[in-house]
Amino acid sequence: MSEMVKIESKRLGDCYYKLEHKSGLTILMAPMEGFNTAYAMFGTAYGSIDTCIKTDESGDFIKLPEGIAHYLEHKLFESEECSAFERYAKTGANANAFTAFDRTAYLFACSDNFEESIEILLDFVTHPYFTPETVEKEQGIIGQEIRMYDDSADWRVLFNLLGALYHKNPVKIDIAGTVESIAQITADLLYDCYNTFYNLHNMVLVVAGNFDMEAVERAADKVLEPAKEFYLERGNCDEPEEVAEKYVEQHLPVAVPMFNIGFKGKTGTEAENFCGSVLDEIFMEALCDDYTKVYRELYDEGLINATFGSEVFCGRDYISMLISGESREPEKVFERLKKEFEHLLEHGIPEDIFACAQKSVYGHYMRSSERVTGVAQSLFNCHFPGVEMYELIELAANATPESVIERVKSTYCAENSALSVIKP
Amino acid sequence: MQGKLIRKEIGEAAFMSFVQDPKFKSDRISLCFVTPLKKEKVTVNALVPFVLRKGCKSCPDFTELNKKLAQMYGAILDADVAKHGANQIIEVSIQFTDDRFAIDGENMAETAAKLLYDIAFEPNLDENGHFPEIDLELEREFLIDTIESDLNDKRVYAIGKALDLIYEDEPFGIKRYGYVEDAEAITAESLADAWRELVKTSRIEIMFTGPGDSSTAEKVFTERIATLDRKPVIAEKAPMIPYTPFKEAEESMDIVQGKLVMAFRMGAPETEHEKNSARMLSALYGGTAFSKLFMNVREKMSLCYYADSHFERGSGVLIVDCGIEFENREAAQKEIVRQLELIGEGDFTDEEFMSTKMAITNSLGSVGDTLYSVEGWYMPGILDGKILTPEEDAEEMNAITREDVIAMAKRAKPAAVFFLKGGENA
Repeated sequence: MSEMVKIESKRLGDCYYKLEHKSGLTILMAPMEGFNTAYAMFGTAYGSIDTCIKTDESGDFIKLPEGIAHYLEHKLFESEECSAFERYAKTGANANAFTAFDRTAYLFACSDNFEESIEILLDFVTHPYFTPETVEKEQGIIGQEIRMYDDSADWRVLFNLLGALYHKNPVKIDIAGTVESIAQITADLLYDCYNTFYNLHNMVLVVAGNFDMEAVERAADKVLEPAKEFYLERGNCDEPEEVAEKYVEQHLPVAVPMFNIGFKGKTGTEAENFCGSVLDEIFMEALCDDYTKVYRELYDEGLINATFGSEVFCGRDYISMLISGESREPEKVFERLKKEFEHLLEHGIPEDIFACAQKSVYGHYMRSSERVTGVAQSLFNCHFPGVEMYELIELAANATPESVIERVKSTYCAENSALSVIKP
Repeated sequence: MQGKLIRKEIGEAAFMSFVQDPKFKSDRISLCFVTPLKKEKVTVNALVPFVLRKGCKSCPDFTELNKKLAQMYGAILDADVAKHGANQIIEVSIQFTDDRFAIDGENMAETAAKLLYDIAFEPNLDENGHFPEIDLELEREFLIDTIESDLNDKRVYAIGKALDLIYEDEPFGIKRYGYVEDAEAITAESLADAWRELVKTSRIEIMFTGPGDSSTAEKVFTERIATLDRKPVIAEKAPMIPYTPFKEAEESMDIVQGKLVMAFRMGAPETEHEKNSARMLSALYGGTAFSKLFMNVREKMSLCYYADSHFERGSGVLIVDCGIEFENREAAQKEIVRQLELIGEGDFTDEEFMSTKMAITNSLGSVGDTLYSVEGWYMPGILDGKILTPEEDAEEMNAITREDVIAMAKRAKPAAVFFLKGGENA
């Protein structure tokens, strides 16, 4: 018998349900009253950074072509008869998928015909069909996706930064790979990756919004076969604490120079990175959000504009603080932020600034709980690190200036940072 | 959808709309100055929201203003400019946590409404009635960067160039953020005058969306707008041009992927039924992952990663764009034209047609699920004077027949092609 557990947040007045399905799949469901949309995500803890693996079958570590997780995501939409998109066409659902650094997800949104759509989702993801011809056909399509990103200044400035921050960590590799690396991908290799990572024990199904929980269980009972035991060892990249390069630049047609600044963190376990990132967010707000002294100085000196922003970039095996914007003198922005970073670590966060930062981060988590996609994505992201979703807003609510500084001191150092610039 | 739209006239050419919905945890108030879109005024008006965002009489300091917002659980105060038909829209909006989730029991809606009013109507002017010089200088620089930033996204840039080719002197061709030369000429005086004129002559549209008590906000706006000296000017509807002579252009840039944009005139689809037929056509042609363009240009011919179409409701133009290898331009262009011709010949199945309808109905079903999409849904209808719920719109879309789509496809005539290719910057 499958068992269902209810998880509640008193603070938000919300709840969700966790079902360990007999097939081995974990199913997380958040019915949301008053909403019309259902949003489902079915995914695996497998992404672009999984380029080196060891399984029972492979014996020793084997190296995979860069971009294969993303290629697999594209090809999984095909079956012998028709594409998953053509199947969804009969239900009206809006379907998509994405490959990230450490996960891949297949998703749909619908306001009608939920049960038919969830069956399609579970069915096509668990029934791969690759042939040399269909694999070959995708080279042109993904080739154009790669080229599109090669011309994207936003994308290049980020990946150039990751290349500067990291020596070996595969997070520095472009998610879609290169035209050359994807040329090595074969149908057999796709099956190897599929059979390794698309094991229901390594996957999760998340549904949020307007749907019937029994319909989800019925679909899972109907479509899913019990999964084999799961064993996997991922390669360890032995990433040094220091950055590979302090500065990197590229010329592309842009109006104003764009920059990304990264403060490289020491990675903990996936759960430590995830929970720590909430405190890191508060720190970054206190460092340079629009109510800080340093933001005002940079703004008034014309060194930054309203495009300036920050985020924490974290996942399995990596964590960094990223700051982005446009500036005609990005080096000055970088120097000023490094100095402020050190100042905060030494002198602590002023009380009024801390209150602003904490309330902002709290509000951010609260607002994501009023969107169907926000809830689904949050459940999905929290599952693989093994973090309970409502823990994040509690971490924000319970943070203190001291706990934030302690966390940042133990994870970051102003010197382990880099600047990436795109110049016209 | 849960909340129904309620509209009230709260002053001369000043309206407030409400969509109450208890499922949300935050509320959103937006305030729009709606003014006729004019080439000579578009740039200075575009600068207004950026300087308004810097502070107001009750909170003149930019940093203190941002602190205040952060303490309201990270309330988001946005200021931007948009276009709709013959109208320019200068918008300031605030999204904030609903009272139920405020830790200290603050009356968030009242605070937010007062702040938004102050931002729009009580700016921080100096003794000469001008905006602070530093705000003018910084925000003018940012406006110029924003005008030029189209270049950053090659897809946006190429579509803009294709539209430049066809619109010429139509109001639709006026740039959202205006023009660099005009931005450089803005002075402290011209900027303040532009703001005063907006306050005096614009139609004012305020919208409150969310679970909160909107009565205090309504009171704040009604009482204060009554004190303004108003003389509203309403824009005339921009005429739709049926056809224009075909134009073609290309440009070189240091890029690795070519961007092909094609624009079609549809013979001025003026009636709602015609417009909906064109929307349906666009969805069938290139609006879904099972559309004609997706299945042929991408899946069958492997020419691109994306090939999309969309219909511009105001100007009646259908736009297709895709990213391709430079040498595949001819093949892509031929296939894009051919697929539209095939629809005109009725070469699509009932199943494809039904699926397209379902995709549209399905996405309309989601409109009520975010504050942002609720506002984004109703605002164009309010401006066009035809307010429909998403359900009513779905009903109208479902009334479109195969024959309507075929007839609309037959009316399509290529009006412009723009190609952004590799090589040295032009």
